[in-house]
Amino acid sequence: MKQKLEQALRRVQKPARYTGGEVNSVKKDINAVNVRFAFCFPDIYEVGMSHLGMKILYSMLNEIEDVWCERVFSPWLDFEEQMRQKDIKLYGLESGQPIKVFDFIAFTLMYEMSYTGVLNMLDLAGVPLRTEQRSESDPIIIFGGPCACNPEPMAPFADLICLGEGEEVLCEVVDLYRRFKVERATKKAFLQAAASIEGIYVPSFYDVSYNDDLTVKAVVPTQSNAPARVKKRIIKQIDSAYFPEKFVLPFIEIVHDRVVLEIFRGCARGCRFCQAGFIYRPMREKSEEMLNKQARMLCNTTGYDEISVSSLSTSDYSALESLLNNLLEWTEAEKINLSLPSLRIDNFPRELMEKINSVRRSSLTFAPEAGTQRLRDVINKNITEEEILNTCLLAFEGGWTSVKLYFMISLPTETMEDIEGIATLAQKVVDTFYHMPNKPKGKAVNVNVSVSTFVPKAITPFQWESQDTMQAIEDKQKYLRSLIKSHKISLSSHKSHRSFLEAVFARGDRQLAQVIEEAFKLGCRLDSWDEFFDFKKWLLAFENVGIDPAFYANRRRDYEEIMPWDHLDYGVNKTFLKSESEKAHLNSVTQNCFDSCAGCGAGSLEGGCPLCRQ
Amino acid sequence: MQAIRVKFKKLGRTRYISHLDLNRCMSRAIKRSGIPLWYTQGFNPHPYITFVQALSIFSESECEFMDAKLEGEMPFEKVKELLSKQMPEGIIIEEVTEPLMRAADVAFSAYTVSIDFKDISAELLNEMISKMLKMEKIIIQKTNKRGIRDYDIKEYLQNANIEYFDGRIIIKAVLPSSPQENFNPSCFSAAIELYTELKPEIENILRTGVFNKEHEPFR
Repeated sequence: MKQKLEQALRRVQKPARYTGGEVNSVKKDINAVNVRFAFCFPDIYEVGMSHLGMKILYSMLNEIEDVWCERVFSPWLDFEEQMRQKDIKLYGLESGQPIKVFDFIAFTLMYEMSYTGVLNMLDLAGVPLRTEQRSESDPIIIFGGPCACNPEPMAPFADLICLGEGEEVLCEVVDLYRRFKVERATKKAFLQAAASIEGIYVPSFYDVSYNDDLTVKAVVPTQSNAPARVKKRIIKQIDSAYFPEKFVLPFIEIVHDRVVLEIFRGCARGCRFCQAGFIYRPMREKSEEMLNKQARMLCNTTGYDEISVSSLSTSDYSALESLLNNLLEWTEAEKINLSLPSLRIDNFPRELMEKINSVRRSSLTFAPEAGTQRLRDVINKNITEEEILNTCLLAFEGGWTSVKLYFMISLPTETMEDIEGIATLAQKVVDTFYHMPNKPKGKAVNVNVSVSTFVPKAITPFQWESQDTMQAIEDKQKYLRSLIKSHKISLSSHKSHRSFLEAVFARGDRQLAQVIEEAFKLGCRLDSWDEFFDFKKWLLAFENVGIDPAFYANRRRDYEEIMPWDHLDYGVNKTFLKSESEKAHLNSVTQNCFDSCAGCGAGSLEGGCPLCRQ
Repeated sequence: MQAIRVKFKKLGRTRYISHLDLNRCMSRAIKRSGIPLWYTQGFNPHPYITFVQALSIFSESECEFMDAKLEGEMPFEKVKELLSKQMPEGIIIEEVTEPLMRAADVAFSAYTVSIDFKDISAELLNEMISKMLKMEKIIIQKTNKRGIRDYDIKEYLQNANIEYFDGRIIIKAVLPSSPQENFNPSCFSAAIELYTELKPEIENILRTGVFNKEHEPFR
């Protein structure tokens, strides 16, 4: 085995992706361990190792004495070929042992395009894909992560699914399992008991029926322990929630190769297109003191020279200036850089701004998302043209000459006028630069317009909307391109193929499991990588199983329709989402949670909402 | 400011770490250790460390050198102790000293190269490789910045100590490893693959020593 692996490693790029042994990785004595847990990320090492959720849960599980949690990532194609050729089974990086012998194999579902990656990893591990094909001796397969809010397309492959934040619920699952292992109880008995843990969804205990028009008729539990609606879990006291003192330190460079400091969970903004803005509610902040302590600890244990602050909207942290000042007190002396993504720089003190790495180095980024005020009101993106132009002016006066603007197309109610608005706004930014009385001589401005395609997602006010057809999206992209006349503006847009598939799976039902399985069998994997994404294979997969993807992506749903995920309770309720949807169609905005409570329902979760005290 | 030279081993799975990765790994280890490292001055200060010789990925070594500068003084034993605590499995700090020779003085490296073959006896291996050694020249192509060039490695193979086992040969050789002339020990298995019927399954390279042009151990 060792010889085979060594040979394989000599034949691939970046072999250190597959060798483990990193500083701060956890080694345990197999004989002293009761529960073996494989934490799988269905993308390559560099992506998976950057994921904060995995770092938290990895360290947390390993703090339990008799649990050994190991990391597993998807191989790049070169190593997969070697594994299949030499019959090397997917193994945990810490022990090097095949994960097929583990007690649990857990996957985090980060995005829809990683679904074939999950199947590929199960296959490489030698574990049958579907729950009903697996035996008593196979590990228990767990899914979690953001896509668990509508896991239905992947449901037939999971034994159990964790809804919401995993810190507490995973420990409860492990505790339960330990008891059942001693009693040598069946997997079914274990799952029955697990189904009564709050936040645990056992998909095989639910029967899905369909109407003649293929929409979902009902999702009904078939076991007495399985609740009719499964409620997601959240951490009540975020300040006392488990946070690792160490990050595993990779040898190779990963995507986010730095200390990541999570300043709060959830978001108070309520942008109607943004799934993260709803499924992570309510917003819960960590205290400055705790963050300062955690940042210092992580710098000491990793030797990283950069800290990145992480959240959905950095500027919304209540004590941001004071937090940064506290951090700067020691980071400057220790030559550690701070970076703050998604920072709104208007109203932000200039002196502080200049000390911050991300602002100092790179170009400025704004996400107006839509080209006209009307459409920005529809999506509830509370940013005005005046604010955008003022901030740009501020930045230009500070010496920046490059601005990046993010937009989406195919938003609900969008017309060609809104597309024109994108070009107009970009031009106004260019004009702002040239109208500066003291503009720097000999310098040109560069406005980078990046346009992505809107994907309607579950548990958002836009969950009933249709996505434009790929043809319509292409027409809009072409039209926008024709409107951009200035050489100072560069436009980047992408083929909408992947957004189309995301739209299918983000609101898909269990029928789609066949498509994912078929696509995997046709060779689809690592679909988020341009090197591997093969849209034709996906279309063939739909054709082979006789499912029309347009039914999922391009169909507007009635408010009365039963959604495939309606039996999953994320706090935010359907009545609220419906009223938000209706307001969107009236171009009417909703205030953020700081200004006034819109009654989203997240306060019904354990611990309530700290912003509105509901 | 105090200049230090750290001698270390790079063994086991750290053979899969590239030179660039090793650099990052060491900078972070030093940062964690609390050793008062000297930083380059300027807009973007970074820790000043250099490696005397790059080691190819997949190779192990008993004899690597890293040079650094410290802000202020610290006893060598203390530096060794603090650094040792921060090393990943496979990297072992041997010694911390002041640098006595210049990095440019390095002229030769000693290697132990073990090459495995499938299902073949020691006798047959001996026979086939001896036959190759009787060739007038053993030419290997090397690609560098100036393009592809031919090199004759016969001299090095002849001077090497070769041991034969069933399914394995072990070559102990000294090769030039100066900036002007540098031979990668994987040229041996390349030559075997080129000039005999043998097909190497896997090779393991271990650097065992580094010398100046007088063949004195590098310090």
